[in-house]
Amino acid sequence: MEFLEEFLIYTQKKGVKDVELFYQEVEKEHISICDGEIENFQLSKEGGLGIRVLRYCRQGFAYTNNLSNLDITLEKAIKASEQMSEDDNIMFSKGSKGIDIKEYKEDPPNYKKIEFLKEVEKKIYSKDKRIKRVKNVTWEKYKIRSFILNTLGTNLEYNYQYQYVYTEIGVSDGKDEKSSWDFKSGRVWDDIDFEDLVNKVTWKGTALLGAKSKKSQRAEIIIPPSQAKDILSVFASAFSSDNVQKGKSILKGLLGEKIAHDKLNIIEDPTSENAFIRREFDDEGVKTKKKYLIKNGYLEEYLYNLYTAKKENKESTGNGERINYRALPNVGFFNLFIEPGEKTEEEIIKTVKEGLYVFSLMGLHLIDPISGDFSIGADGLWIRNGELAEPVCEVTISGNLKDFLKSIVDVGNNITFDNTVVSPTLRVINIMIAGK
Amino acid sequence: MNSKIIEDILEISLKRGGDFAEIYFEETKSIYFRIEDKKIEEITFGEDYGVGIRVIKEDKTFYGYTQDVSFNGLEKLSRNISEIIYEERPEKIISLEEKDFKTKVRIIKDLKDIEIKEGVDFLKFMDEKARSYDQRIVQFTGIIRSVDQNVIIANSEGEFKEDKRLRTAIYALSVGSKNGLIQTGIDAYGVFSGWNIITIDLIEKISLDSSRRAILMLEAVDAPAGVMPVVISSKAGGVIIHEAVGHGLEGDLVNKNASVYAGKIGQKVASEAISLVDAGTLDGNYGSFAFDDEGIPSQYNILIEKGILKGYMHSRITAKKMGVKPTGNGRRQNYRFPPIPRMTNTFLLPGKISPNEIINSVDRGIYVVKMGGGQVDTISGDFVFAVEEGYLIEKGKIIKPIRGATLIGNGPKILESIEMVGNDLSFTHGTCGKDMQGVPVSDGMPTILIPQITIGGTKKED
Repeated sequence: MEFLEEFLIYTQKKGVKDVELFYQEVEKEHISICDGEIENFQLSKEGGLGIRVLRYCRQGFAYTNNLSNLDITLEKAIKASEQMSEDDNIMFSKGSKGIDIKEYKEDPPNYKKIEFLKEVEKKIYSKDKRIKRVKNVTWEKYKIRSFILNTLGTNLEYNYQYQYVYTEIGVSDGKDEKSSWDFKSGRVWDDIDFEDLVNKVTWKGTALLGAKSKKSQRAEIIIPPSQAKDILSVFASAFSSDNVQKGKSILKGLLGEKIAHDKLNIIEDPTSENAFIRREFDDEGVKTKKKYLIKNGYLEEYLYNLYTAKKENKESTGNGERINYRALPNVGFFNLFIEPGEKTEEEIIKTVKEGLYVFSLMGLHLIDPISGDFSIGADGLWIRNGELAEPVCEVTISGNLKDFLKSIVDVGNNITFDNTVVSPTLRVINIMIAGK
Repeated sequence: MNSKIIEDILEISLKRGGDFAEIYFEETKSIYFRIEDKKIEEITFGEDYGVGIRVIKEDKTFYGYTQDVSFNGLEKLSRNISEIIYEERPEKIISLEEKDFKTKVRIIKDLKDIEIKEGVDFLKFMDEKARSYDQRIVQFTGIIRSVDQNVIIANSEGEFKEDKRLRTAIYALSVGSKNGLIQTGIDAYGVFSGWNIITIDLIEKISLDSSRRAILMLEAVDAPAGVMPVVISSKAGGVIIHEAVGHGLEGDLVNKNASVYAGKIGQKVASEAISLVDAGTLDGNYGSFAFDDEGIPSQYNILIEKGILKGYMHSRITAKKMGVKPTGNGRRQNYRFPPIPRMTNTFLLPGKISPNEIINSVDRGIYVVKMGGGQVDTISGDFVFAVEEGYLIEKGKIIKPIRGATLIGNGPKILESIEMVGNDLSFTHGTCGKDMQGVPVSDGMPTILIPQITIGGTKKED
């Protein structure tokens, strides 16, 4: 982008030695369908710039999407740097150059997508008479293009895209009312398994009718991929070296220790062809690589960005992430997953004497990743002697994430890379289920 | 941007057969300070501006946004979003009224008046206070954020409004550690005001409270699991009311029959002790404003009166569908989103009983002083909440702190069961998420007793 290169030269004339520009363009499309009609149709494109300056070991930051006034934004970043704490660990990537532009298959035209989504809604209604309400069928797509330029010779451009479809339904048999939701994602339209969406959401909703709470007890839980990935994303912040360094990780001081079952491997690999968002470079311009975080139950490595790595005289693991141009780099992940095992989900269920097969977890954002304590709402089907049995609702599952990790005793073979964090089905033993 | 250009764009937006068109301009400036690890880790100046154009045709919304505010940029956007409506219509002439500017805020210190040095000093003071509370405090994060949002809304009915909103929030997180056990304590304060609201006393209290909570949790016992009575202090704020009831009274969910409260106007939905209000008009509350994000003035809306359902919260679209007037609840996170019905400042009106009397009435149960976040399923009314600071009650006395508790239950059932409502009231602020949009809100509640609710804890009740 020419204007970025010109502006970088301008900052040099202004006498700011170290400058980094992070420019991002986001295209968003949104379609939601309700009662056979378009409820909401959106099309948008925007771009914005974050400017980081480094002066006398002090970092300053400002962002804007008003590209006609960049000198004011630069001045603000300088002003901010003047009051920052001195910190000689802050650094920019040096001489990282490259273009990582991926070509994606075109989606069908809008009118076809709209017709298709209307069909999806119809199919949900026609699955079962007890389906009283489809709240909506929502499809959304994001296309992101990022540029990193700095005064140390880094000049990068990369892109990625993803899309998803979401639906939520209400079911009733006249006596009881329940709801369920499901979500499918992919990079391109063809990746999305609409049929599975229809089947899953209707099965979960109707199966929950008549659900009751359970007596409080310790039991096993079986967590399917859609829910397991959500728990893993909460847990993943414990792998961040930033949290470890600041005493905010339950994994602090445990490097090399056995923290999980032998069968558990957790990997972060943005270079993989399978990755939902494959990335050659992270958001600081560092090359990404494959890492085992947990191998055969042992804690192998934490995730680093340039700043946290410098603090320990290490190399960045390529995990510098910026959630958007409005945010500073943090430690993040691009393709984090639990390595699949050998059994199918059905085979895992067969091994359970008494336990809960989880449909949905409620209040995952309430988990405190620092202490690791959790207590979240759950519903699903009770498993008795290896068979799915009666529906369960209004129970909580609780414990500490550290114990939870040790309690994962089996991992399914069913993994789909449809998110930046993914997991196969997990079998977790000795979990407190609180109910009546 | 002059009104002639706006009129032209609105006219173009309706050309393909839309019934209603609207332009929403927003310019938001923010400053954000963060201290962590005893260092000022971030000072960020932010600037975000853009225009959202909305066209409504029957029940359908067509929306898009841009940062290109030139006539050409806006024209292109309005053509792109309305293209999908096929009907050609004769041109409608739009003439805007005089612009009506209102604000709920007394502007003492604008963002541009903020001394950066002052923000840094505030944070260093907070860090020092929080760490000096107890030597077991091993980490402290302090955040101060001040936002200045200006919005202009014009629509094809000729309405033309402007609102200025200043909001300031302070957040403290203390981490306590003892023998390998880590616990956190949080305190936060948010208000509809500029930077001038921050005083030394205020930030000292916030810092000490966050550290006190972290230490308390180190000493706490595991929360019991099972069904029990729970007293929720007014200090905990009204997040439970917001989640368990508030969302179900939002017009979009009601219209879609995706709420347990749909079709129940005039019916008894709660015990007689319950009266619920949502008011965007309150002075200084985080969820206040002069005009909502559709240009409707904020209002004081009684939703439930002595247990009887009186009304819902509406945007223009949902009000029209139900044949009522909009209630000033059409809100959006920013210009990137179309407005939807949202809460503002939602609160339960106080009763007559003293908080102590309520606690004393419990033989064995839980006393909640601070709530964490929560979540609700509006179709069934099932909700879950985290308890940030809670205690065991035995024989009417508060005995010891508990950790890791959540409350799980069903909104309508709980509302029917609440009989004891205290004579106190206080608010907490927060950001409410719905349909991927976050908006500033506040929630208030007197001290109440929930006779029976499921506590999700790690310790099995014997």
